Amino acid sequence: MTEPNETVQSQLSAFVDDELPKDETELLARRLSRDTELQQSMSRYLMIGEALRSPSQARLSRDFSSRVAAAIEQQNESGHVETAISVTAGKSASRAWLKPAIGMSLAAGVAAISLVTIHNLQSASGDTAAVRMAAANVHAALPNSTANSDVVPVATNAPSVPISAARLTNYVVAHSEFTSPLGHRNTTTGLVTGDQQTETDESVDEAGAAK
Amino acid sequence: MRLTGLKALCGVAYLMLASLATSPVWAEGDARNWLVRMSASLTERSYDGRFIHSSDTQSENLRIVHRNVNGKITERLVSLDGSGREYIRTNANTTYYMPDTRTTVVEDRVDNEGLLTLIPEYRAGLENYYDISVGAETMVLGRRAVLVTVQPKDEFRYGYRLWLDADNAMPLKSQLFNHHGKIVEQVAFAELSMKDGIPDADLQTRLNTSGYSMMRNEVRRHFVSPDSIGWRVSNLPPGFKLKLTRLQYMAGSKSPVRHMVYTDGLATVSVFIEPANSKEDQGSGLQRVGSVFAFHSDTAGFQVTAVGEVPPLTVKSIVGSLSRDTGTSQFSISASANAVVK
Repeated sequence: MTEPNETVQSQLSAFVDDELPKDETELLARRLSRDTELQQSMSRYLMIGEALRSPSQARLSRDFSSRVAAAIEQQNESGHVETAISVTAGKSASRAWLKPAIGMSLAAGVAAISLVTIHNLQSASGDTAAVRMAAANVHAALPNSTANSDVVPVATNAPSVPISAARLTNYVVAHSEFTSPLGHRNTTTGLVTGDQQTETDESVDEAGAAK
Repeated sequence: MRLTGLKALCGVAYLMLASLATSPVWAEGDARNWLVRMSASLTERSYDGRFIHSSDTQSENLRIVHRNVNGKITERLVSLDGSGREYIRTNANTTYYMPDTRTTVVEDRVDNEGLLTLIPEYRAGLENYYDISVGAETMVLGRRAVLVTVQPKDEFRYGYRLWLDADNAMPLKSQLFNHHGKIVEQVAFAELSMKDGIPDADLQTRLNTSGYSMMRNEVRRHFVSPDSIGWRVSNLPPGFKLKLTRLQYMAGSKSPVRHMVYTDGLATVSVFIEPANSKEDQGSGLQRVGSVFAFHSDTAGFQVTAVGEVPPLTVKSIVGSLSRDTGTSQFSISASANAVVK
């Protein structure tokens, strides 16, 4: 998979910081609209961010989703991509998972996805209802969204609580029936060796890694 | 000018032929075929071996005895040091003995056994998510071995390095590694004998289990249609698809547990959903059993848990985008395997 090059990263960062000139913003939007690999990369970063998000990680401002919707509305009316969307990132967002080599911040990913959605729908028909649908999708993807959605958020503020060893064993045994033969051997080996741990957020990345 | 071009072309062709003569060339399909052969050997052959399992936290000796008699599989996996735990699998059930907690877990098997052949699929599309390559021959355990590398293309799945017996494709040594190449787990055989016959005694526990408490997962188990399971994952990691849905009655669970299985053709993730009944069901957390990660969260009155031999990111992503389909109140139960998603 192709990662966004440095220039595009810089543009996206500048966009997030509301520092990208208007003409470059429009160029960036056009590029995102036709570069499917870039869009896929943005989707992956967004997913990574969603998975890792916790109070100590990258954080979207609480009213982000409403400002995305407002920007979409403004875009629909003016035909321009607005750069009024701002996102704040927590200081500890420099976690190894999100290091620069990966590409860019969660915040930039969300903003880019919004841009893609806006531009694609504008190109297709300019249908206001479709744009509103896009806004709803953006709402649904955001953890702090106030939009009605049946997407169940991960309870990131809840304390880390392990499920009982008995229940976990039941799950792993049931799961092992649907693994590959090699995966089955590895899964049952994990049960037999008793190599079990409850992980803290900080140890997740390194968990299980042999020295 | 044309002559020069022709000479250059001949030169390239010569180099290609010379390369063919000095090293084996494997097409993508050939590499995948090694995985097919490996799975067949692990399942269909009979063998008795001792291997060392290593992770960052421990290293342990285990014995595996695997017998296939006309498709009837029996397997025994024993920890030779440490916990002394055992896992015995037959066509009727799997039994998991834990001497350290004096507990036995029995999982009866009533489903269509043919389902087991659905995963892995080793379909051509596998290369969209993994680079599969075959390296040079080497020696492992005194045997000629071929190194097959399954390199994940993103951070949602693990990769494998497999040293396969050049004759029968048995994995003499295997390493599980993450997207960054870091080894998560290693299994290396110290002894391995392919057998024509294995006595029953080698497939039975030698533990005295009197006084053990037993947890038995009930036989009742039903496939349900994906539409009536009532939940879906709206934002799956790339390549993962729903393979089957079922209801399962588990020891300690007051109501049927929804079980959904997702796979990318090689890795699988199970999602278990059951009503949250107690304080234990509240909160969320990540746990690890060997190379299997489990992430659970209490959501909307249910405890949802994703379990799989995948990185933590994958199970967290799946739980994070789990959606409940409103309006689905009744299960549509079927006795057949038609809940397998094609």
